[in-house]
Amino acid sequence: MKTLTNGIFKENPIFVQLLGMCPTLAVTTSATNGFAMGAATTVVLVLANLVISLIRKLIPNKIRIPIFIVVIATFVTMVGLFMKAFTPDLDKSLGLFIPLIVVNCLILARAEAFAFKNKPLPSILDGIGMGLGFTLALTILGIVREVPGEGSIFGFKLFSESFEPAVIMILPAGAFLALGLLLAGNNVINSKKSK
Amino acid sequence: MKEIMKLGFVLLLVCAIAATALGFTNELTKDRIQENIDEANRLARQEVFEAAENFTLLGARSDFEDIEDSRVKTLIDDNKMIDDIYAAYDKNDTLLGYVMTTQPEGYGGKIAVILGFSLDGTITGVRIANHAETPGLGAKAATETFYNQYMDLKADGNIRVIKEKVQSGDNAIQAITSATITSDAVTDGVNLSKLVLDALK
Repeated sequence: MKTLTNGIFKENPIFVQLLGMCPTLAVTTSATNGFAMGAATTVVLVLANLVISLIRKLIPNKIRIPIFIVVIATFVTMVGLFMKAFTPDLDKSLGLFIPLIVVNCLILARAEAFAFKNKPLPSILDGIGMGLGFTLALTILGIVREVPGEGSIFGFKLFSESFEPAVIMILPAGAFLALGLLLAGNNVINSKKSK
Repeated sequence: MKEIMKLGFVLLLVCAIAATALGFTNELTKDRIQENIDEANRLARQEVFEAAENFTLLGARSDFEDIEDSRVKTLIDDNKMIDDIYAAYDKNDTLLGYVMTTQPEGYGGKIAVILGFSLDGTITGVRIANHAETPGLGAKAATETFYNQYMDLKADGNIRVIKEKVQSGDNAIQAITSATITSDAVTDGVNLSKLVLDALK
């Protein structure tokens, strides 16, 4: 159980471990995109963790990294193809970023730090926990950027026509601003807790 | 030496398994993906030329050798952006205009722009099919607010992209904020309509 919740709060991949920053900053222009990216990453993370944990005794230590990459890339391509075939609309808005999941260091880091050393079941739980934490963080980041940047949330308009959106929030610079503010907020909460 | 052979063999084995898995996935999804693309293109043709009933393919880059009309052949050969051209007919088989797919280079790669234009030189509609523009920015080209701007503009090859609001009578569209490259690219694609009209007169 602890393996599961670890990834969501205590070791949240984005807010605490600062892993996988590239897709985090790039896709969170809206809450929907953030959520979908998180979901796709979670699927790949769970599958990769499971397979790597299953074959961990067969992998020679010296070539573990290339093997991790092959396993991850295979699942990413599969997810990408299935998305193209069955959810073309989602593929349209996220298509560019799906292949980038391969180089998401969150997945490689969990393979190296957890799945390679643990049994399949805990590895799946770790994948689900980290995936949920990643999705949660990406969705929050998406909301924080979409509300001021577009004046909407999950695509629903919040304000009247006269609202002039702060476009900078959905531009790359806004990603850094929003992430910085969220990290600061997270630190405040954590330091209060530890007192 | 022995160890290197062993490591290489393990890696080869892993890659072979991965390749097999991908082969099966591709086999499983490729028809469906092609269907999705064909269906989306068919719907788009109807949308960009609502008055038309039938569309006949005049020529496509993928079947270049099979193009019968030599004018169409030259058009597609000379303009690398043009992907295919369809003729649009009403129900009495009178030629109304053309629908074509152009592939201008956007910010994230090629953008498939489907546009319809009538013989009198009016744009009847524009849609964005496949693209890889930045979500939230360039990807807005695929929303109504953007592509509906092209409706009823003149297909004189001179549609301009401006940053401020478009005055009525201007043959121009307003660029997407922070996505000028995308806006320019789509407009380049639309502006090819003049070439086609001139060539097929």
